[in-house]
Amino acid sequence: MSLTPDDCEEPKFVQLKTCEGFIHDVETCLVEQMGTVRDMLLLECSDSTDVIPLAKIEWWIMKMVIHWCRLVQDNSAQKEARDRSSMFIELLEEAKGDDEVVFQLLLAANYLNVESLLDAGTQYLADAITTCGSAEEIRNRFNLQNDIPSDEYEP
Amino acid sequence: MAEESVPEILQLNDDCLEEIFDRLQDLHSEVAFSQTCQRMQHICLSKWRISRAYEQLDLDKWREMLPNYEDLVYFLAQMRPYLKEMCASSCLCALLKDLDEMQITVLPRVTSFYYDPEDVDCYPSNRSIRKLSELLPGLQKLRLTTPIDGRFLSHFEHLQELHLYEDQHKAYELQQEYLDEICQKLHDLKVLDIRTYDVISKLQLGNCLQSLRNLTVLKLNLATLKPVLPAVLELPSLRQLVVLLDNEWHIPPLVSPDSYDHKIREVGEFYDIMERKAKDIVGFAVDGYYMPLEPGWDAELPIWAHRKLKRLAICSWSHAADYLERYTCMENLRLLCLRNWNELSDDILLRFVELCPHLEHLDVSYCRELTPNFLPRALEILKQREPRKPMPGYRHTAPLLLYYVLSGFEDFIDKTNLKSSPDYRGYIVFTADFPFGSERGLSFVDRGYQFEFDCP
Repeated sequence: MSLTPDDCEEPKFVQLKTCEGFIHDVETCLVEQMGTVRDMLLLECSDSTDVIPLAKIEWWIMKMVIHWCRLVQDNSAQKEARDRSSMFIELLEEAKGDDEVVFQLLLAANYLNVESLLDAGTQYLADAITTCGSAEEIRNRFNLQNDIPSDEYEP
Repeated sequence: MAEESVPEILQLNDDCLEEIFDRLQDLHSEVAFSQTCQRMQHICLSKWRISRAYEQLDLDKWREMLPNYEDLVYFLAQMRPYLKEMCASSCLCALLKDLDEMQITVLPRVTSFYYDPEDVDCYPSNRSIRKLSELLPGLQKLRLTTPIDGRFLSHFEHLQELHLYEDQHKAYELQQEYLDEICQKLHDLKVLDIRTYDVISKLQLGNCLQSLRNLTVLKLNLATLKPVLPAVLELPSLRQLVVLLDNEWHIPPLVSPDSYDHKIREVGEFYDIMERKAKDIVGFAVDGYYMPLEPGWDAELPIWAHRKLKRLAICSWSHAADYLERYTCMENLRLLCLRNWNELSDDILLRFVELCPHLEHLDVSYCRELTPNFLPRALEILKQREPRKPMPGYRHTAPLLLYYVLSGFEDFIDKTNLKSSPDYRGYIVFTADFPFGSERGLSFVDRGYQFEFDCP
């Protein structure tokens, strides 16, 4: 269902306010990829000029999410589409992001319901886990503590 | 003192962690993931428990999925409380020993065990059967295709179904004393299959029948049925009776096996059941290859007066098909199976489609004389009956399932891809298989007959 029904004037931008109060002007076509925001707007379609508050998202993460949505949109217009895993890695490299960035992006993708970002981010982590090979290596990689009771089976 | 911070990955919610789990490459990675900490263990276990891939314990298959022994032991320990089914195709004795070594002594929720070894000489010992009963205390359904004498089968206290039949040679069948014990001790028994494919069965049910009050399905050899037929038909809950004609393949040395007539001329009990239970019979199936049925065999059957037939299967009929038309009076017919008929024509079959409005299953496998013309004509009849079927929101009957393996229109269906035809959608579903509950191959019921009764 589109955000722009025929009988409404078509806004080109939507304003999203992150938890610090920073307002992002986001093209409508990119907001289409954010399921949560899209649904909010559909419920209030006569007032689409209102600022949408996103209390759980920090500004720098929102910036990255918007950048991702733009990458996805541009990619879909290409004759030869790139796979999203490499796009995600490129996004991280540009931001010089580490694991913290990945987790924040995933939380944002889950909150905003950006399916493509959730897919790419979780795949990135799954690949990292698979590469580890053992529970101990996974723990080292992600700073996990083994809190499984000792009477249960351990490797 | 610095506060202990939560590892960043654990700040992800369960949704995200489950999405990561779904993308792990293999079970080994999942096992490693689950062993990292309690939270991951909880996530993984909740996914494994609902996965269809791990509903059934097949240790040989699980060994292939988890070649690392420690991984396998861990995974089994995690899944042990949730397993509901088990099957095995390797030696049972070795399997039980392996589970012992893994400290798996009880699988409390397993209700079904199917044992069908690939190595036909691998017979489970009585000791293994006893151990199995300790491993699976809640077992309700047991299928054992190897020869056993039956000792310790009565230890499966909650058993409801016991299937011992395999359509190949068995070195020996149950011992009578253990069959008696099974019948007397297993009060929940509902399904009992003690058929023996080869030789003449020596089992007797004389001491057992008074204990089998809850039995709903009985499958046995004719030799076992003969002395107790009236008592069997008196069983209050009996819904299905399957009889295997005993067969002793003694071909005289000077006779050519190709010309030897091995039809089994034992029809007395078949007619007896028809007479005694006429008003309760809702289905019967017969293998015409082994039963010497001649045209007109059914003209005087008492079932005509009741017209209660819902399921009818007459297979391998080698005479003219015209007489079949008398069965079109059975308006409640749901299943019609006419496999391997030499002379079944489109016209006769169409009469059933026309006159039996509740027909759901039509099995004409191996009927080479049928032609592709049958299909549009059948479709037209069904469309005239329910013109608006494919329309959404319109309540309609289930489509007709047409079983067509090696029939006269099999090639036509496959070449024209009728399975996907929008014209037939909602009316006919084509399936290259056999109806559920029937034998595979030329007959619905192999080398014998079957009755279904209406049980109050």
